[in-house]
Amino acid sequence: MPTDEQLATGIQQGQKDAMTVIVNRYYDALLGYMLRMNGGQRVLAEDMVQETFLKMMCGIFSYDPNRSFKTWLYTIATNIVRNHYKRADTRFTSNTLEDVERPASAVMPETQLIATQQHQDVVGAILALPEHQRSVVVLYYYQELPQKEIAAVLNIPVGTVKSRLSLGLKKLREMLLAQELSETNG
Amino acid sequence: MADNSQIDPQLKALLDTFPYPVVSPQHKAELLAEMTTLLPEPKTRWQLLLEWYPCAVLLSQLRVIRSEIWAASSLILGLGMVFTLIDGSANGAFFAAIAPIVASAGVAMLYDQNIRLMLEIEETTRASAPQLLMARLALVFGFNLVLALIGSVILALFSTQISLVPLIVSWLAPMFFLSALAFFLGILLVDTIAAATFSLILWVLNLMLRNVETSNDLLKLISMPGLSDPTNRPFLMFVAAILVLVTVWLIDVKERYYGRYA
Repeated sequence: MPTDEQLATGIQQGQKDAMTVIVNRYYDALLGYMLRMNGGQRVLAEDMVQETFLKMMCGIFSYDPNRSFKTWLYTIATNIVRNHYKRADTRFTSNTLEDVERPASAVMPETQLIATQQHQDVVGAILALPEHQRSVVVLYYYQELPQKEIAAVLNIPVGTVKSRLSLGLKKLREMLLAQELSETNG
Repeated sequence: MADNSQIDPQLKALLDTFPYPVVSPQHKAELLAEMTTLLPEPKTRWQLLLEWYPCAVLLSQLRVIRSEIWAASSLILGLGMVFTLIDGSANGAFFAAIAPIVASAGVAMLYDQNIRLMLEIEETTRASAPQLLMARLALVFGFNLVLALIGSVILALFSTQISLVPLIVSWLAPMFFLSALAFFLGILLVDTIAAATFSLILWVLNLMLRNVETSNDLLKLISMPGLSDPTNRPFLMFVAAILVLVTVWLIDVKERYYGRYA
C-alpha cells in the first residue's frame, strides 16, 4: 500500500489515481474534524473540507515529501478553520445549533430525545472552548493524532499541546457534568 | 495513535455521543471532479529525470559555472589533438601531456571570488555548499574527461602509431591527480590562478625532467617524478580521491564560517 507521501508525490506528477486514494483516505476524517471544530454545521464542514482539498491541490508543489503529509494536510485544514473564525462576519455570531447534524437512531423516542440532548450538549461544550483548546482536544480525542503530530500541525511545542489538552478536557468535563446535573435536577 | 485511556470514562462516554459523520458520496464525487481540474499535467520520463534531485543540482550549477571553461577546454584539447595528428611521431605524447593540465585548469576555476554566488544559491535551495561544489566538479571534470576520451578515440582511429588504451592510461591517472590537487588548492587558497599555475608548473617540470637529468634535488622533488610512473597510477588515483574528500570537508568548514560571519 503506497504511503501518503508517495501518493502526494504522485499528485505532483499528475496521477489522478493518487489523488483519488488521498481523498478516500482523508475525506471522512477531515469532515469529522471540521464538523467538530464548527459545532456540527454540516454544510459549513463540507465547504471547509472542499476548501482544504482544493488548497492542497493548489499548493501540492510546495509540499516536501520528506515531511509528513498528514501533518501538512491537517495544517491546511486548521488554518481554514482559524481563518473562518477570524473573519469579522463570523467572529461574533454564535452557532444556534439549528443546522447541527444529529445522530441517527432507531431507538425509542424518549431514549432518542435524551441522546439528542446529550449530543447537543457535547456539540455546544466543544464549540464553547476557545479555538486554540478546541483544535487540540478535537485533534487528540476525535482525530486520534499523537501529541507530537498535533504540535507539528499547530506549530506549537509539545508542552503547550499538553497544557492546552489538559485545560480543554477539564473545561469540557466541568461544562458537560454541570449540564448533566442541571438536566437531572430539572 | 493518541492514547485516550487517561481520559475520565464519564467524559469519554459523553464525548462519544458526537458520532462520526455520515459521508455524502455525491459531495465527495463533486469534490473529486473539481480537484481533477487542478491536477498537474502528467510528466514525461524526461521531465521527471530533469527534476530528479541530483540532475536538478547539476543543471543549476551548469548555469553558474564560468562559460569560458567549456570553450577553452574544447579549444585547447582540439588544438592538441590536431597537433598530435600532424606531428604523428610522438605516440600521442603531446595529447597525453595537455589533457591533464586542461582538466586541472578547469577544476581550479570552480571556487573563485564569486563565492557569494554559491552562498546565495545555498541559502535558496536545500543543497549544501559541498553538494554544489561536487556538482560543479562532476560537470567540469566530466566534460574534460569526455573530451579527452573522444580525442583519444579520434587519435587512435586516424593515427596508426597510436593505440587507444595505452594513450588513455597515460593521461588518466595524472588527470585525476592534477585535477584533485587544483581543486584542493583552489579551495584552500581561494585563488584560481595560483591553483592552476601550481598544477601547471608541477606537470611541466615533470614532463621536462622525464628526459633531462638534473642534479637539483629541489627541482626533482617539485616535479614529482612518480607522477608519470606507470606503477604509481593506482596510488595517484587513491591520493586524488583523498584530496577530493579533504576538499569537500574543507568547503563545508569554510562555508559554515562564511555563513556565520557574512
